[in-house]
Amino acid sequence: MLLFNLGNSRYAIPARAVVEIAPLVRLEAIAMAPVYIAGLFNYRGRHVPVIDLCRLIEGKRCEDSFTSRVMMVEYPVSGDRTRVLGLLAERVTETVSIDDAAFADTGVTVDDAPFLGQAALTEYGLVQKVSVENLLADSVRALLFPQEAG
Amino acid sequence: MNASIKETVVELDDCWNRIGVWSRADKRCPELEKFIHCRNCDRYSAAGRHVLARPVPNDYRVEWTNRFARSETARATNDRSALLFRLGDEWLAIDSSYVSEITQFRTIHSLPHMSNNTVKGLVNIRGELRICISIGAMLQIEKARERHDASYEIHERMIYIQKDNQSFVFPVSEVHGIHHYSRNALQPVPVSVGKSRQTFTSDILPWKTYHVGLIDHELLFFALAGELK
Repeated sequence: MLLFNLGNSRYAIPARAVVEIAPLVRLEAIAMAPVYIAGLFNYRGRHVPVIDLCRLIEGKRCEDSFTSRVMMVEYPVSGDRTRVLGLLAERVTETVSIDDAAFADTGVTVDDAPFLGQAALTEYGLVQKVSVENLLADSVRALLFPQEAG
Repeated sequence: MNASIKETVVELDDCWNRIGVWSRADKRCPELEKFIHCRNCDRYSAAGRHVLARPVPNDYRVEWTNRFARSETARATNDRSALLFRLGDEWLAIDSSYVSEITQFRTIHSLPHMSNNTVKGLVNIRGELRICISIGAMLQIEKARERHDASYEIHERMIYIQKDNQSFVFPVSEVHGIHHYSRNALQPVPVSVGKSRQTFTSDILPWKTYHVGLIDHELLFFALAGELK
């Protein structure tokens, strides 16, 4: 699992979903897009949308710090196909091994945040798992990957 | 003691210089007994992370933006590997994933009633008999040159290749080792190359001053299976 912070809370995503970690880069803003879409990242010649997870989950911008990084993840779009998606988060500094079994349902599932809902108690405190495939609402997914719709 | 150390981390006081392994003072941090070296200590790594927790200068951001904007093809990665070996005067390469073992030259036990140029006989590899073939005969590489003359028949090494349930051993004059290369480095086979060798060579791999023929392993195994029928 790759650990990161959003504000003061610890989160994790499965490391196998991560393609690469990029430092903070300049992003091209997308006009009229939801605020948590930080912008477009020119990632090796491709335009990859980057989601500001701080904005999405905690409601405020990610800090401009050296440890704020962009996690490039494989985002499943349709069928077996995946597209690269950037996730901006704070304190992306550590990968740890956490047994999948350690994650238990928190019992609280918020309709607006279907990507949360599992947490594990570790030496780093309570770590909430972010499910990459449920991260984007259908409307946002259609906005970011229009060619994959349907 | 503990409380004071905690404080120093927040203020980024260098406790590792004060009471840690880089200090000359007699008073040592009690944690050292557990961690042995400061770099194993949580406080040291936390302080390191604290240093990173500062705003990013603009040129850092610009530099990384430019670096990631470059396309992936610009980065030549040596993602493939081949075993380089010499056969007479010819350097050849075979995909290293099919090479199981390289051994010293072993005695070839000839097979009676096998009047075949390609199949030379049987070789004992770790207690198992493997079919020994002449890759020179397959690729029609001329055997003896003046400076190799008779000694060419006494080869330096044997390469044991395996694919699915097929396995063969063939003697070579010399083995260089595994060469890592990028698939972009491969060049097409020139049309003027002799007919037989061209069919067994899938690409040309430049190595030092040589142009090494990369053996088409699919075709090689297929042809070898045919030879045994």
